[in-house]
Amino acid sequence: MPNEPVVHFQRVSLVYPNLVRALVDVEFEVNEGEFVFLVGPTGCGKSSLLRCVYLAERPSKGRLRVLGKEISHLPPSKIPHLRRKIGVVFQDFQLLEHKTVFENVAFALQVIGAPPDDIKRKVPLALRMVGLENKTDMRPDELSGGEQQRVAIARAIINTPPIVICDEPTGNLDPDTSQEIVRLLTLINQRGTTVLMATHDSQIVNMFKRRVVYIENGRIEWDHEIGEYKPDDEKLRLLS
Amino acid sequence: MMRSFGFFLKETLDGIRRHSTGSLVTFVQVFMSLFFLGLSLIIIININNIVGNFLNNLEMGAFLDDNITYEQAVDLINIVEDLPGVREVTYVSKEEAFAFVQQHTTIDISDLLAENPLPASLKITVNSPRIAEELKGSIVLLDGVNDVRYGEAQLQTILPWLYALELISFYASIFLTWFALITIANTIRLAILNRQKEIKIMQLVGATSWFIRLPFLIEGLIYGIIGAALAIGIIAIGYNLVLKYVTEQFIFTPITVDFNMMIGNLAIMVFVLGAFVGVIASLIAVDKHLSQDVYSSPRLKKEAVR
Repeated sequence: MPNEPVVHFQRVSLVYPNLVRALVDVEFEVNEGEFVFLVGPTGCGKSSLLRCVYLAERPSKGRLRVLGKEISHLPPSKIPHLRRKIGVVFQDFQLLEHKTVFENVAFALQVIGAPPDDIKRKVPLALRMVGLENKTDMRPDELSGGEQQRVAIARAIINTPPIVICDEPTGNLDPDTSQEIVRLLTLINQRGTTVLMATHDSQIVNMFKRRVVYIENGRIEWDHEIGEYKPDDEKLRLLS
Repeated sequence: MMRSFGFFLKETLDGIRRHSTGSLVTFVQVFMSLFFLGLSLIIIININNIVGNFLNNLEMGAFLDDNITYEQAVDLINIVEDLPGVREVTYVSKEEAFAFVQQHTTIDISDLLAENPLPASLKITVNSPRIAEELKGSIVLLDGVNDVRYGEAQLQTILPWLYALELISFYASIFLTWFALITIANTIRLAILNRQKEIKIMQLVGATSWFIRLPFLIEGLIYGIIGAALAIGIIAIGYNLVLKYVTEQFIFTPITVDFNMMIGNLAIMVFVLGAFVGVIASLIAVDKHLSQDVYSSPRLKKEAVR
């Protein structure tokens, strides 16, 4: 199926053990090569939605297709293979402090058993892509927040995954660095990688003018092709 | 696979080096647990051995008629030897019995006695005191046997204590092994708990569960084996010194188990236990993290979602 969405939520619901409903009947498609901002207030379900895509959460109900496969019942032994096709970037970078920049990126290849030659060839390419080719031997604590996030992005794209998921990747960064990071993500997107990014940074969303999906109380409230996000309007609406 | 093994080993050694203080504490705790277990087992094995030797080598005396012929005595030996529970039968002639008594006294009893009053006897070694009374009943009925004695009164007093000691040793060894197992398992579990982030990242980038487990299993194995080696080394040196001292000081040595056999068996046990617990504890600790990976949320009832 050439035009099948790379991510397809079909009436997906997610309930946590404390019976909080994180997602309610979510209907949502992402096509190949798209860049999608997921926005909404804290606790609205953005992260839960992303976590479902790489199966950190299993939907309680509904069907979820990722890269052409129904994954909501994927057996645990198959999950690693799904994750090799999805790069993930977090707000807190999730780098190993004891490893150098090179080793952190190489780690993603080593743990899937990649040959050393592949690692030597691919890691410098990924580091060049994120602009860290001169900092390969530094450790995360010697880098700025923005640079650490670049390492995390390099690690996420090292396997050239068709999808990159970013959960508040600019949450810990100043506005200028945030723009640099999102610019980098748009570059990765231009090479054909689908990017899903959760954020509550309206400035970023409005600056980059991409598809915006607004989530509230676990439901998708609106989904605009090139959307604008005005959290203040939402607050006013919620108050009224 | 060799390439992966190199990666596992490097990750394992890196992990141990990086958490050097924690690793040292783990090593020391594993060593201490196995050391005290080994030490306690040596004491328990020796107590058991002494008690066992006593219980399994009970001797009975079957006193024979004075007018019994040598041929009749040989027949009696054959009959008694065939009885269940009898390990060995030795004939003690009247003269040998007299000589034995003479050996244990300072006065010349041959001057006092006109003739040898001691009867010939059969010295019977019995497998277990449990069957002593039954055997006595069978032997005393045989023609030519006047009386059978084995110190019944004393044995009845001491026997419950010996059985209790055997039982206590048995349960103490089980308890001590269990205690060592729990201590080691907990120590290694705590060491791996600190590595949650590594496990999480490995999961995120698509490492399979066994790829994640292996470096930690190797680490657990290293803790177990090195702790066991240290424990056995120190126990062997200590036991050897004690054994030397005891054999020099006492003619009758209460430590009756052969050194090589004792340390050999103990080494096998402690190594197997150390390695086994090391691996299992790591496995449990890693799997605790692995199981937190995909949270399977409760299936929804239809009415739960409007």
